[in-house]
Parts: sequence; structure tokens; C-alpha cells
Amino acid sequence: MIEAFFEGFDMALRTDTFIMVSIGLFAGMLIGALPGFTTLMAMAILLPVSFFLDPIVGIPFLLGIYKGGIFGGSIPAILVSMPGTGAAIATTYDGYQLTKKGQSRKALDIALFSSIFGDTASDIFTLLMIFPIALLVMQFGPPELAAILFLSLVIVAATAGRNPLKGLLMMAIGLWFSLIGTDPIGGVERFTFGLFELKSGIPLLPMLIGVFAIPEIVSVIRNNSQEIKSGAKVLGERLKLAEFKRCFRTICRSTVLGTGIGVIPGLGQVVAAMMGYTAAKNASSTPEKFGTGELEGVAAAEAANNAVNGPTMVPLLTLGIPGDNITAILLGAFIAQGLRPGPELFESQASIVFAILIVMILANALFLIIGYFSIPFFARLVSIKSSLLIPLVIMFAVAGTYVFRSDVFDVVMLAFFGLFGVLARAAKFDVMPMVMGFILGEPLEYAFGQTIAMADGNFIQFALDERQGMLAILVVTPLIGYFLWRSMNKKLKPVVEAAGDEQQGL
Amino acid sequence: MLFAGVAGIFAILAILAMPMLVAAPKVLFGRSLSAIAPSLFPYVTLSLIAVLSAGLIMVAFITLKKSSHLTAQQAAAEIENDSGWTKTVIFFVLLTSYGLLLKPVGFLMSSFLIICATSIMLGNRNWLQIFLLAALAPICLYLIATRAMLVSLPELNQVELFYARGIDWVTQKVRP
Repeated sequence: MIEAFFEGFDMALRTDTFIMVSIGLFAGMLIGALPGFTTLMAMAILLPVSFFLDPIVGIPFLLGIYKGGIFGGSIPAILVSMPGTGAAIATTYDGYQLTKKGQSRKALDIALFSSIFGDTASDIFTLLMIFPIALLVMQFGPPELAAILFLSLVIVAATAGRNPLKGLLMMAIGLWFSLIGTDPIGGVERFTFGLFELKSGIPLLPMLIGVFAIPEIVSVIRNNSQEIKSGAKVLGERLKLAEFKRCFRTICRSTVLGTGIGVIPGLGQVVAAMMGYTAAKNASSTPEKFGTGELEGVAAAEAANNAVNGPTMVPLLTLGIPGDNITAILLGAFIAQGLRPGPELFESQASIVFAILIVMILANALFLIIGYFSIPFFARLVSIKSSLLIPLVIMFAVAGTYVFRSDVFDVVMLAFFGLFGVLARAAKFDVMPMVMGFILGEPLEYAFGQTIAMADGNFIQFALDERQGMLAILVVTPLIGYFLWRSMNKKLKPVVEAAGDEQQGL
Repeated sequence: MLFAGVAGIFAILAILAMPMLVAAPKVLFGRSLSAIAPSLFPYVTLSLIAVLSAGLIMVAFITLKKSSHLTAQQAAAEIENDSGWTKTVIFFVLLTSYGLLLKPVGFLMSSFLIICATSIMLGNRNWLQIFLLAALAPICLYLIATRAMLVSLPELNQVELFYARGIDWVTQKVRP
């Protein structure tokens, strides 16, 4: 494992990787800075670009969009009180008040430094966490993998918003979508309705762009306004070292909170930012200042939401389980590159995983440079008209979907899943469990089939005698599911409700 | 409720038509080649969809009984939503048309038409801006896709040939 780490370090130090990370960071900040345009939309639209690059270049490019997008959302939140992404809602509370006081430059600086600190610390934590977890999961065989996949479906259902029934239904629909095509075990056709194009199953890319990007585009179209927001100016002095030091305790607290939240699938940046803000307010000796233009308020929210970025990679890389919408898109990128995250990835391509994680940490230096010098440029974008941007986004979505397999059928699938996503959003159903069901369905069926074949007709005896690990996971699964469901309903419910439906679109 | 209802009805119909929708397992010397039947997971998943849909519909009915009549504000929001849905329908018509036009008309022409239509739909009335955006953006993306990413986009023989030759001419001039 250590050898793979050093090999990964060598692989990471490539010029083209850092060029693409910089482009990703810039694109992420740019899209995040546009009110209504989310990080999720940016990643879904630009996902096909990564397919035509080396994994060590393409995946860091997407990670750059992820990091840049989460920070970019804070720019309109601070300047015009309009969060560019859901993750920046808590930033509006104090950020806009600072702008009103003529201190927008200071607010943007603290947002940038807190974001980078939170991101870097959580990335280092992720790298350290990966070692023991990877060593453990490398011992897993098909029975343990099947149990883990089942556990992840339970976790997704338990944390799927306010109505677990809706989450479960969407997950079941996703599982059914994964069954379309050729059966992974017996090789027979299922639900193809005689269509040749469906024999290889539903393609992942049109589904991801369809359910994640199209509803966002429709949302912008429905709320379209030609009115240009004014007041998007960067004013006042830069942040002083003493002011950063004053906020440092808050930044550290929010980083720990964000990192913890990032490990739990289904919570994400919005909840982290709200919890970070609330914790900072509760711990402050002057809580009444929060909401009136307190630097600590901006720092708390921004450090927490960016600290989520790294840890969401832990379940993705070690078990192949995406914890949220963004990591589901990253999983799509890994699969398209021929890399299937999970225990086998560490056995065969551990150096690539480490290279990606190392780039993730080093990218924060580029994040600092690009963010520091381009804030005034991104601030101007806040007032750009959506009638110019939306047509371009549609063109990118369609062209990106088409180029992967050069098949018009994929564009039809894009429209179908786009419509599905829009209807699901209108009916207040989250599409995330559906995507998770779709992604995990096939490996679950395959691993389950292998387990049954290994058990040779006596599953219980097999589990008791040979696979106690699988049995242990299956026993704790309902307990974990219940614990998470309870936590979501009691402790986190007020925070999630305050965040509202923004959770869907980061 | 409608969403769950449609999903539930679909699941029940699929369960009933399972023998037609899922092929029989391959058999060798009278023994199935699969450890589990190909219809096992479909049965489990579709039954889950049917049961959960029924559960959601029941919950929705109970909630509906408890709720009072629409307020004036809610009614206004409903009317506003109707105009939103019209825009949504127009968007999907445009998106589907884009997909269907890609092959017969080519990427550049279809993109030109869709960018113009979407921009107008979103209220832009600056014709020069629309024209420049619709003409230049697809060419830029076409160049990135075909020259930098080395992937193909659908081309229309005559018109796109003209574009392609023009692009070739420009790139040859620019190249040292």
C-alpha cells in the first residue's frame, strides 16, 4: 500500500493534470458564481470532457469543478444575497450584511481562505482514512460486498429527506432501471421491449445529465427574469491577518463538523454549512452579532461546506458507494474510464487512487491562487443574463451526451431522464436514491448471485461457518439504518428543513 | 400521488407480464446456468415499487382529508405554476427537436436553431446578440470536440462541409 502511495505521488506530478485542475477550478467558480447555476449542473454538463482524458487528468478536472463550484456559490451570496449554490445559503446571512457595510472584499476573502482551509484539512483526513479502510475492504469477497451494497441502500433510504417512503420508492425505481438490458449472471434479456439500444442497458451518462442537469435548467427557465441584479461590486479593504486569526477557532470547528458530515452519505454541503453556522453562533460570546455582518458567520459556513468535499470520496473509493449527487457523477466518470471504485480498485489500481487524492490536496494551492486573483472577475458574472447562458448549457448537455457513443438514442434518453427528473422534483421526490439504486443494482445482483453459487444451496450454514463478516454486516444493517433515520428525524430535521429543497441542487 | 400512482400501476402491469418481459434462463443438460433466476430481482424490485406506491397513496389520502381548502395565495401560486409548466413543455419540445434534428440537419445548424429559439423563449430580444451567440458558440464547441477531444459530432454534408472547409482554411492560415 505504501509503495502504491509513492507511485501515486509520482503519477500525480503531471503538468497536464494541474492545467486541467486549474481549468476545472475556474469553470467551477464561474458556474458557481452564476445565481441559479449549480455545481451539480456544472459537473453533469462537463462530465463527458473527462471521458476523453487520462483518468489521472479527467477525474481531477471534475474535482476542480467540485471545489471551485462550492466556493463560487458564495460570491453572489455575499454580493447580492443570492446563493449561487444551495451550499452557500448560510453564507448570505452575514456575507450580504458585510457587503451592505462596504466590506464585500473582506467577506469574499474570508470565504476563500475558510473554504481552502476546510477543503485542505478534510482532504488530508481523507487520505489518512483511506489507508485502514482500503486494507480492510481488500479482504472482502462477493458475500461481504453484497452485504455492504445492501447496507448502502439502507443508508440511502434512511437519509433520503423528510419522507423515507419517497426515498425508498425512488431507490426501487432506480434498481428496476438497473435491471433493464442483459442479466449480469445468466446473460438473458430483461425489459428491453425489443429495442436493440436497450440490450446493453440504460447508459449512465444520459441518466446523470438528464436527472441532475435538466431539472436545474428547467428551474432557471421557470424562474427566468431579464432583470439584471445590481450591486455586484467588490468594495472595501482586504482581510487582515488579525481578522483571520480571530476566525481561526470557528474555521477549525466548522472543518471538523463538515468532515464528519461528509463521511455520512446523504447529508452534504447544505446541512454542513447550516450546522457550522449554528455551532459558531452558539459558541460565540456575542451571538447577537451573527446575521448583522459578522466575519465568523461567513467563515463558519464556508469552512464547513468545503470540508465535506474530501470525506465524501471515502465510501466512493473504498466501497464504490457514492454518498451524494456529486460523488454519483464522479462514480460515472470512474466507470467510464474503466475503473470500478471498490475493493478491486485498490488491488489493481491503488496508485491511481492515491494519485487522485494527492492531486486533490495539491489542487488547493491552485484554488488559492485562482480564487484570490479572479474574485473581481467572477463578481461581474453575477449579473449575466440567463437568456445567454441557458442555450449554451443546453448545447453542452446535448453534445456531451451525444459524443460519448455517437448515438442519437442517448439524446432521447437524456430527454426522457430530464423529464423524469423534472416530474420527480415537482412531486418532491429526490432523484438521488434513484441514481444510487441504478448504480448499485447491478453489482448487488452480481455479488448476490456469486454468494448464492458459493453457498451451494445452504446459505445460512455458509454464512455461519465461512462468512461471519457478511453476517455481522447484515446484523448491524437495520441498526445503522434505524440510527441514521432517527438522527435525521430528530437532530438534523430542523437543519435540513431550514435548508429546504436546496439540498438537491448544490 | 400521481407520480406514485403511475409507478405503482406500471409495476403491477410489469409483474403480470413478467414472462414476456424477462427471457427464460439458459439451460445446459437440464440445469440452469444461473445461480439465481433472472426474474428474481425484477420480481422483488417491482413488488417493492407496487407496495411503496400503495403506501404513499394511502398516506397522501390521509393527509388530503386533514388539509383545508386552498388559500388565495396558494391559488395564485398554482396559476403562476401553470405558466412555468408551459415553459417546461416548450423546453422539452425544443430538447427533443434538437436530438431529432442532430443527424438530419447536423450539429452546427441544429444548434443554431435551438440556441436562437431558447434565447428568444427566455426573453432576449437583442437580435445581434442572439445571432452571434447562435453562430459562434456551436463552431467553438465543434472545434473543441473535433480538434482537441478528437470526437465526432453529426455533420450535414453540404452545409457542414462548407463550415469544415472554412475551419480548415482558417487553421491552416493560423498554423505556423
